[in-house]
Amino acid sequence: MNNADKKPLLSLRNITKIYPGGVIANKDISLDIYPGEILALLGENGAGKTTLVSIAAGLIKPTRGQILVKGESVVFNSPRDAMRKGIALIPQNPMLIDNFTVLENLVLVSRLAGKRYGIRLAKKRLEEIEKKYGLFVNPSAYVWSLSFGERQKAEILKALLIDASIVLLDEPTTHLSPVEVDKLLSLTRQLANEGRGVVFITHRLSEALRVADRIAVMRRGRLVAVVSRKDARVDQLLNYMFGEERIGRLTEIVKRRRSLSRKVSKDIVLRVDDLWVRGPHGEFSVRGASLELRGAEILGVAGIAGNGQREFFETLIGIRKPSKGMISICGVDVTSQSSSMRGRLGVGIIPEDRLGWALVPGKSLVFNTVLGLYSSPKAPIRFSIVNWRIARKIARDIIKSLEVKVPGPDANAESLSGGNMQRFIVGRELYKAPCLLLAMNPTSGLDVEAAERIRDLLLREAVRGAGILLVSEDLDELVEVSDRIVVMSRGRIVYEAYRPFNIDKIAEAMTVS
Amino acid sequence: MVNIAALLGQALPYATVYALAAQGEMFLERAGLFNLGLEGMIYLSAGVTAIVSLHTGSPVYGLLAGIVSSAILALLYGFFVISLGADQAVTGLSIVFLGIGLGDVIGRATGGAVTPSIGILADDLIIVLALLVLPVIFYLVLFRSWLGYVVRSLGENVVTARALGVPVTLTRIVALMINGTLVGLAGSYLFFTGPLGSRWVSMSLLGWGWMSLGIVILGYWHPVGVVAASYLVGLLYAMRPLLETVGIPSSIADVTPYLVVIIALAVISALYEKMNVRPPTAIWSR
Amino acid sequence: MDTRLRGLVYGAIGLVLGLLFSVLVSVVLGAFTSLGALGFSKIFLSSLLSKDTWVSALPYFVPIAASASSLALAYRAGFITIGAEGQVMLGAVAAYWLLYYVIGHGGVVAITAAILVAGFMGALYGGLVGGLRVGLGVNEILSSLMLNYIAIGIVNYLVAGPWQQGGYTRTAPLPANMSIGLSIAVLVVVLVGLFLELFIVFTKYGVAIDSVRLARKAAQTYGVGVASTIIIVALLQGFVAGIGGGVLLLQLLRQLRSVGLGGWGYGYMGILAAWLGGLRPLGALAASLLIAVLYSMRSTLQLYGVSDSFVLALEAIIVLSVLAFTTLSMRRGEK
Repeated sequence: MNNADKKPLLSLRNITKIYPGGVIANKDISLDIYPGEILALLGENGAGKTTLVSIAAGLIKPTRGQILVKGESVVFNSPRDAMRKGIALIPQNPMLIDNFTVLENLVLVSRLAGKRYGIRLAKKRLEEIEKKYGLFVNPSAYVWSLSFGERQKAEILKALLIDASIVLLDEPTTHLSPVEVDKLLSLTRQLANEGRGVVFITHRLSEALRVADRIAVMRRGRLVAVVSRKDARVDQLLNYMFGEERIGRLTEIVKRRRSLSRKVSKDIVLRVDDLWVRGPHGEFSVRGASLELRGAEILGVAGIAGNGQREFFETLIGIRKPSKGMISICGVDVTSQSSSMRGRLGVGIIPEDRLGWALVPGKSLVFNTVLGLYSSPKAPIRFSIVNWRIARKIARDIIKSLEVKVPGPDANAESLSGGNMQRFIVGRELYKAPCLLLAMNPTSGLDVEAAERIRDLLLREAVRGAGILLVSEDLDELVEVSDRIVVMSRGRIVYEAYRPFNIDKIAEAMTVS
Repeated sequence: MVNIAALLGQALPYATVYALAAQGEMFLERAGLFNLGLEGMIYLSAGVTAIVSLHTGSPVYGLLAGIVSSAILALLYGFFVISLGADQAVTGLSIVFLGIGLGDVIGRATGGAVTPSIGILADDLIIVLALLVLPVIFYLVLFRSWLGYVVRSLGENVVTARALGVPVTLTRIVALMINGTLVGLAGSYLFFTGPLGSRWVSMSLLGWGWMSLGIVILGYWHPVGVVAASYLVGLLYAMRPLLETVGIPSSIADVTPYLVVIIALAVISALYEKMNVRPPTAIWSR
Repeated sequence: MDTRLRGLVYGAIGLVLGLLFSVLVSVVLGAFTSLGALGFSKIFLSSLLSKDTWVSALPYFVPIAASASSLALAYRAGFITIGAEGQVMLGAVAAYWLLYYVIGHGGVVAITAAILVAGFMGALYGGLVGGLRVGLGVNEILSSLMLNYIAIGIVNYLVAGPWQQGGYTRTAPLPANMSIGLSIAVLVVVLVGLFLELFIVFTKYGVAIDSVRLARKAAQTYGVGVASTIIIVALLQGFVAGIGGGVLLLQLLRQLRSVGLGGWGYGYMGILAAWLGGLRPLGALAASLLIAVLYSMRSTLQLYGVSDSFVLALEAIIVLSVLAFTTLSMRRGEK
């Protein structure tokens, strides 16, 4: 496509963003988005893509730099201002009010964007949109009752309802099934064909090549290159994304890891039998799941977000009560036991959210060590008295052996970067020498290198003999490290696969209802 | 034996005090803040009303001054919680003590003199406003208009709301002003028509703000529910003399409203959950 | 700088600035009293520096400090009870009942038993609040408050009914052998506060309590029982506040009288002291001394025609000033 004779819809000029902690998320980025094109913003996690679109959407203010909409310089003090200029952001995790209906959410946003829609008018517009784009979500449904896919549709409805001329999609395919991805991509093309400018953020090279007219690559806060699709070469894009020497290092890690050998033991460390669990709103989220996991085995649980994995995981770790069924860990029936029993049995837990779930924000790493080991036999606690000296030593050992970058064990847990935080968490859980390790999305949001190091640690733990249940939305990750993969869909385990995996079959099973 | 109609009527002034304060608090809690300072705001407003109406001879000035004093405390609360990001509980509790302390100093300056009171017409107007007009307005605004969506979004998920572009600070300041105004009106009205009858007696107008906080929960953050709960508690209040006539000691009769409310609080949430009414997520989730 | 040290340093800076600021506000407010700003400052200062003020503050320090250190524990767990007032009252009632109606004589054992029974009564009341919270999801702020009013009702019922002595609504005073001295009373409360501090710092419950407030889900995940933590905190909080009530009765009150809706106020002042003390039992003890001194100054001020409620407002101003400056200072510290 030739952009030379077109005027850009949106121009970012020398955008720099430095966060209060001193992290430079964007450095001197200039980028134009033209009408009628899809621009892929490609880069690994932590490259600064989300920061850049958040600036364009008025969510955060740039430290320096200028934004122009249709040639006119603008300053966004709020997302409201950006929406009024026709910029809509569709975030990675839908931003909707759970206890509102879809319609309430849509009316709220349209009003904030300056459209004078009442309830009736909004409904009428939604019908028109359904006719034109084939996009429909029940307007009177509460958001909490929707699947991830439906929530994302509601987000796109927002953009259409305010008739945005610039649509920014942040990793829109993360939580979607392959079929939904296809639909989304064709819808994106339709939006571009209508003359809108579309920015499509992704960390997947294949996706960028499939969807985009132009590809802008970001690495460590900088814009490295902008190439049009017809000139794009895969190896070159990879170099742009990671840098040459890092690609070499990564291949090394993966090669070394694949040489590790281990033998799955005969002991069953986790047995789940016909498990039924209710979700936060009373509906069944897990419906009769059964599985077995042996020592030194890595069992991947695949599935599209919102199909009951979270509730399943929460039930396994003991913070949600099952309605029916049985869980036994290392031969002990823990169905009606709390998480403290799991601690005593030596279960390691790596939850999805690092701050607030795995770690207590505002507290030191020593404190977080004691909390993590609270009910474990290895806790530095005797007769309910905490031995802080030993706790400090344990924390220091974890920091040292896992190369956690931090001034010392008294540092605030909040002050660590994502990768360091996760290494500390994994180190703490491995300190328990667990017979069973339960992990959920342990590498989400980490850059490639940090993610590979976490995967490495998990594999080594399996070699040591722990059974690992890995719940992940990242199918590539599961295929890379699992011995066996089960697929969870609508709260049921619908498919089981052994090495070598057939990815298409697994992906297909993820959409079974 | 018991004149039921008279009893139902006697409950009205009490219910009005509760309804004004509790609706002001409900609106604020819908916007995601909870102001524990009601007790102090009511007390200060009553004290200011007393002295201003005594010195100006005009109950209307007294009423307005009371409202302004309460609104100032609400703004102080806003300064701490919104501007400084201070803890809501400690700020609210401090405002209770500040309000009671200042209110008592001010109220005592009247020397216990009887002040001019609002007339029956104004009294009736305030009752109608509190028990009939306000709940309708609040219902329409909160649940039938987009402005209500703006307010309620803050009570549900302020992070998301901010990301959607909801003007968080502005909305909350408006909610605080509504809160301060209504609570202040409750205090003034309490001074004029409450148990004291337009005469300041130190430390006797206590408990009203706390009870209003409980009423917000009993009414489950819904305007109609809050007004209904206000009336029921007002009725309990009016029934105290009746309890004494059947032989219950006055000390026990005096605390029956509190006893009933604590029991009601214990059973109410299960009941409302069945009816699928939800409290604002930011304020209360089990 | 590490988390703990930084918190202390910035907290201390905030505390000092806050106290200075509240002095300023007090002087400004003093201008509105009959004394004028200068006169008020003079009397305020001389009263504050006089030994008598501090000595006469100690009896009030006892119930305020017991309430404050117990509430600091509760607030650390995010359990915002304001029930210390009722627990102090019922603690006093229980101690009176045991000594006067059951045992009938003094002595170390009887006094100890009376203090303990006061603690148990407080724990019962506290446990009720905790149980309602955990079992039925009842907001603890409101349930504890309603229970305070019910405690007032109980006292008023007793002194005007079964326990009434003579023509006034009050009980007979305890005989001289059923009492304790001021130094013992202060010692008991300080020891109890110290115990709570050690409980938070050195037992695993300290870790549980902080985790429950700051990251409930993390606490649950790693084996902290949230419900049991709240119940333990509620019981212990009530126990300590109840002890404060028992000691108060034995040392200062000696008899029970009818009470107004404002209650005795010690439990409420304890709330302020708990926050002022940075939610640490030892800090709460220090803050309680300050609050008690201010409280004992009210009679001096009254002599000069300043209403005693003025002190209540002053206390609130101190807490708000310190709150403002510590919040600001901590925020700066995080940058």
